[in-house]
Amino acid sequence: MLESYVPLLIFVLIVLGLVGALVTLSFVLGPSRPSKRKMAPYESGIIPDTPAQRRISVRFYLTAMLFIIFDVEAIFFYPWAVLLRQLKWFGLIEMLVFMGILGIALAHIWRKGGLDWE
Amino acid sequence: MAIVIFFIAAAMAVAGGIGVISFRQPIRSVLSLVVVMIALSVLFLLLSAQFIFVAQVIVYAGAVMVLFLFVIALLGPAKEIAKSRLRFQASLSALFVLALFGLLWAMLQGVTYRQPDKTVDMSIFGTVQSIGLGLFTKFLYPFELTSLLLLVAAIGAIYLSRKEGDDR
Repeated sequence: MLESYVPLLIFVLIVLGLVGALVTLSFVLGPSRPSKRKMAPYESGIIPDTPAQRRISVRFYLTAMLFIIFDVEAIFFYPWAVLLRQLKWFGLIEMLVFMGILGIALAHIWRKGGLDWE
Repeated sequence: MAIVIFFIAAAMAVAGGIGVISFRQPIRSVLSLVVVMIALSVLFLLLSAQFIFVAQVIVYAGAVMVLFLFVIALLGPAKEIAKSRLRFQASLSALFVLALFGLLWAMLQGVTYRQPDKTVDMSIFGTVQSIGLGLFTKFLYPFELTSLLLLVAAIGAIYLSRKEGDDR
């Protein structure tokens, strides 16, 4: 059972190793001679006069909430796709009902301007 | 092998949990929480709960953490960093932790582990196939109700984020 995840483990180890190696190598090999001008947020640009951190628009939060809703929808596609051949038409109709109700949600969001940025 | 992976993942989860409560910048706390989520997903995989593993990575480590980050960004930098450390809460929390561990210890004394049902095929237990079969046949009605729940959530999200006096 556990042996079947060995490729996944190898993949994770390669990814971590590669990222770690690249970051370490660029840190060790790259020359670091910071000067005041180099450390400015925009080199040879306009000097910022307000802090970079500030409150962001609530619209981002709406985007995040809508993302979660359709992310949860998407997670149900996974077992459905695995079983699609086994469930035949029954599974397809079932999922169409599920998607239909969420289609209403999408239509509502669209109509109320949730997808517009203004 | 499994026990080694368990201890690595458990240590990651505990380290992430300590990070969540000890970093003073909320952004770092959230990123530590992502580490906790990823470590927990490995534990789920060790219990051969494939579907929960996927849900944990995609929904919790992905979407829910994005929401947390956005909440922090919405609050703005002024409220982000705690000005003073909490004082009397430390001793209070020690008391609660002791109580919790006492409770856990007391519960573990009386635990008897059920033998798995012989009629259940253990080779597919917890796999995506068995979860899906349950979800799309036996629990068909709750599954469809989930979409209604998501619909309500969508309407609520739109309602909450509308502007003051905007009655679209």
